[in-house]
Parts: sequence; C-alpha cells; structure tokens
Amino acid sequence: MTDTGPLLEVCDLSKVYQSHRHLGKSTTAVRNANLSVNVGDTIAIVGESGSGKSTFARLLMILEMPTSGTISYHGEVVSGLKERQLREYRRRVQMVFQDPMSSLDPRMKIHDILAEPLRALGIDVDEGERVRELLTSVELPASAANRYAHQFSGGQRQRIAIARALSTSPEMLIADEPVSALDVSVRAQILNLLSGLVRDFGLTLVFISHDMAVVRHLCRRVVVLYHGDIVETGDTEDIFQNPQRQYTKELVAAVPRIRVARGAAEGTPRRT
Amino acid sequence: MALLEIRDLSVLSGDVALVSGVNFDVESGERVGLIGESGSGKSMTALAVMGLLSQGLTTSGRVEFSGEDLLTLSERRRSALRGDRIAMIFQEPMTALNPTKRIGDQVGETLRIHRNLSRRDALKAAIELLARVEMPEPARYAHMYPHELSGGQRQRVMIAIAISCDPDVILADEPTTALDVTVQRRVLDLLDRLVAEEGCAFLLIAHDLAVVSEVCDRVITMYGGVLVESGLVSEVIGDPRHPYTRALLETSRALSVDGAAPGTDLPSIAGTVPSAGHFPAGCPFRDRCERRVDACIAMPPMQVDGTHSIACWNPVTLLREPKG
Repeated sequence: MTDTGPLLEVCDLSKVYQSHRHLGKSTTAVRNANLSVNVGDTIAIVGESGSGKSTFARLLMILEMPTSGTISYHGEVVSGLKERQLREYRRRVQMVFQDPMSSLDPRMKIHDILAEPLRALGIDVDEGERVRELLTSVELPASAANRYAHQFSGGQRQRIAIARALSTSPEMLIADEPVSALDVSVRAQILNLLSGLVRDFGLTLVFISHDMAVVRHLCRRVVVLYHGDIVETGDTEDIFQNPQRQYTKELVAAVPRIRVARGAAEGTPRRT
Repeated sequence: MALLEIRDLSVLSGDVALVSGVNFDVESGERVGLIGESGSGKSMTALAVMGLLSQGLTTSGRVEFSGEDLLTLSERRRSALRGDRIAMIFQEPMTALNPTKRIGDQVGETLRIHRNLSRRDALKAAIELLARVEMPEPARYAHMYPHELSGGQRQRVMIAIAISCDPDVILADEPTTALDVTVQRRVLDLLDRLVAEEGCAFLLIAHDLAVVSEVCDRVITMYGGVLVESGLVSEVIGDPRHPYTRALLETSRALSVDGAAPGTDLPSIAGTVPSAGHFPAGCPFRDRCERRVDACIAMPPMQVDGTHSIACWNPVTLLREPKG
C-alpha cells in the first residue's frame, strides 16, 4: 500500500437504469462523476430525493455495477470485480444504512449481528471479546449482545448498525442518511458518536444526506449532486459562505430555521 | 369559547397512562405546535381528538369541539365531523392513501360523503383541489395511483383531501418529517399559505422546533404524556423556562445551518425517552433533567404567567433580554 494518491478514486462514473427495454426509456442516475477521497477525509454527498446520491453510495459499495467508468481503491480498480475478489474491499469499506429497523435482522441476536461480518470474511478473533469492544465503542452495555433488535429504540438500533460496520475494523465508512429517521436529540447523540469514531479510529467517511445542517456539522468537504450530475464541490465552510450554484443556495435556504415570531428570522444571520 | 377545548384528557392502555391530564385550547384560526420527542404522547393526543385511537385504548376527560364533546359522541356523529369540520394529515402518505384507488377518487371521496356530490362533480372538484395544492397537470394526476407519485406529491394529495370540505381545524402529525429538506420547504410553504387562505385552526405536531417556529403562533411541549410548557412562540422558543424545552432548543440550535461550529460536540439530552409506563413518578423528565431538585418526585402543577405556562419545580429563570 502506498501512502501517496487518494484512498478512493471515482473516474467518469455513470449509472443508467433501463426502465423499458423495448421503448428504450432510461434514467441516468449518475452521470460522469469524478471524485477523489483521501485518507481521513469526511465527505458529504448532498442532494434532494432523486438526485442520484443513494445510487452513488451503492456504486461505491459495489452493490451496483456502473454502466461506465471505474472506482479504484488504493489505486486498484474494484468496480466490476466479482464478489469473491471483493473480500478485502468488503473488510475495509463498510456501510451504515438509513433505516436501522430494516437493516438489522429481526431474528438474530445482537451478538450474531455484530459477529456475522467477522464470520463471513473469515476474520479470526475472539468473537465474544470483539462484540464487547464494539458495544463499548458505540456506548451500549455488554448485555445488549443477548437481545434482539426490536428491543432497542431507533437511536440504539443505529448504534448497533454502526457497531456492525466497525466490526471488520474498516478504513472507510459509507453512511446513507444514517440520522434522518431520528429525533433531534437522538440525532445529536448519533452525530457526536460518529464524529468521535471518525476521530478515534482515523476513519474516512462518505456521508450521504439531504440535510445541509447535519452535513455542516460532520463533514469537511461537500459534493452537491443534482439530477445525477456533480454540480459543485468544495470545503464545507466555502460551500456555506459562498455557494456558487443556485441549487446549492436553495439546499441551504431550504433548511427550516428557528424563529421567535412567525415570519421573522431569528436575529441577523450569525457568522461563526 | 375556544374552537377546540381539551380538558384533562388522558389516554390509557390498561392501567398505563400514555397521555395524562392534558389541557389546552385551540382558538379558531390559531396555529398551535405540539413538540416533544417520539414517545412524548403528541400523536396519541391528536388521535384521541380525532377519535382514531386503536382498540384497547381508553380515554377520559373532555375534548369540546364547538360545544360537542368528541369523546362521548356516537361514532356516527363523529364520522360526520371527521373529514368535514376536523381534518387530519398523517406523516406517512404512502400508508394513509389507498394504494388501489385513483388519486382523483380519493380526493373526491370526502366530498361525495359529506357534500353528496355525484361522482362526476366530485372528480371535477378533486381536480380543482389538486390544482390548489400545486400539483402539476392535476387532470392527469387525478387518474394516477399513489405509487406513481413522489413522497412530496403524495403529501400534497393528503393536504388536498384535508382542505376539501373547508374544515374548521386541521391536525397535522409530522406532515413533512418523511420528506427531504427541499421538498419539505415547498410543502411547508404550501401548508402555510393554505391554512392562511382557509382561515382554519391548525394543530401541527412535529419534533422539529424550527418547523414549528416557522409555522405556528403558539407552542406546547409534551414529555411523558403530560404538558410541560406552553406559550407563544416568542416565549416557548424565544425564552423556554422548562428544562426539557430548553434542552430541545439547545440541540436544535446547535444542529442548524447556522448553529454550533463544526467539529464541536453537539449538546444532547442525556439518556433516552423511556417506553410508556416506565417514566419515573412525579415529573416524568426528572431522570434526564439537569435541574432536578428533591421536589421533583411529585408532579409539579402548571403555573400560569400570562400566556406562558410551565410545569416545573425549578424552572429556568427568564432572561428577558431587551428586544432590539
């Protein structure tokens, strides 16, 4: 492994869905995307529903085959590889999904949910000890291991999903809207947990979201997707202070703001 | 007399109280926001008002709607009011709409039931309603099914159904929570405009304080099935005195586009909302509260100070900053 060059490189990546074979109707979900992710980056991919951001995440996870273009990891092309050849990539790149109820198997105990990636990838560790470590790192009690997902609240389930993603000691996490189903105070707890984990484990984070408020807090770089095109990229603060594209401005302006009287924004816009 | 008067409303599941002793009024034309985390009893309160509680839940108290007690009405009379004078918008339009019926029929159904319109007239009215909620090509969309619509469009259909009979009050339970921010913005603007045009009262249930502060005149905070604070937006959001409202506000402020500096830890409320029946006796928030005192083992009474009411033994002192 060389330390030079990006960790993950997306080159001219496109994904076209054929919706009607005979009429030749098609939808371009991602169009000619280019992106470099360096070690330790925290990158947000933002856009509204239908912008192609979830497709982009699934392409990065090699859960979808790109129509054209490549994805390289540590300089080696991983897009188009067979599942058998992806074992190392699967270990190093893990995903957290939006809805922790449907992403956790209701029939498995938490212990098995957390140990499954280790077994599947043949990682030889003391399972019990690893599960305890993982639960500690997401601030859940060790007793959680013997329970089922439905016995936990939404926020706790998302902690379990994060612990599962951490089980293989990945280098990179791809998180698709991991907090959008959560209430505000639980959302704050999960964001604090994620930023702590990124810091403590030196993780690289690709964070998919529609919510600029969340993104501003967690990520240092922002990529704006609109109808499958990357329309703007930049450092988070620049994107907020000086958005170049009208669409980016709309994304920021759409976030509801706290007002103390209807129709009046709270004070003057604050600068930090 | 207020349009909607809720007096000592409780909802019980067996002997577990999901909502207890709730009192508030909604004046005609007024917009009231009900805030609190999931599990605070907000939705349960709305469902009790609508008479839509699931079987096995019992209610006590009174819900007076222009002189009638909704809790003791016959189901027949309640059905006559529901959809006509009281309407509700639900969080998840995919489950609230009938997947097997065309949009136009679903919007027109309320008018056929409450206004005795013919099928043809109801469809015509439905197309006009779809135009009012800014659906593109309303005549074409009227013939579509819910699954052919996006989440934002489905919520517009729900809104069209809600306003179809010019109700006196609309209850909306997290109407934009399932939508992404850009769609949420458009749906909020639409709701804001329509509620103003209709002049109806509006009870908005939301966990997002920013959404409530943008739309409402008055705010009520619930926790553990009880009201803990209520007042004007300028009071409850501008200067909350209950530690729970204050904690919610601090988190919401930090987690906004112009909130806390990136990289700093966000303030959050310690612990989690317990499940129903597991709240502590006395003040339900006391286990998570930073300002708890010995008195909190008893439920504090609601103290009224003008328009601002709080139920707390150790409230935050008013800042009363000079308004400039």
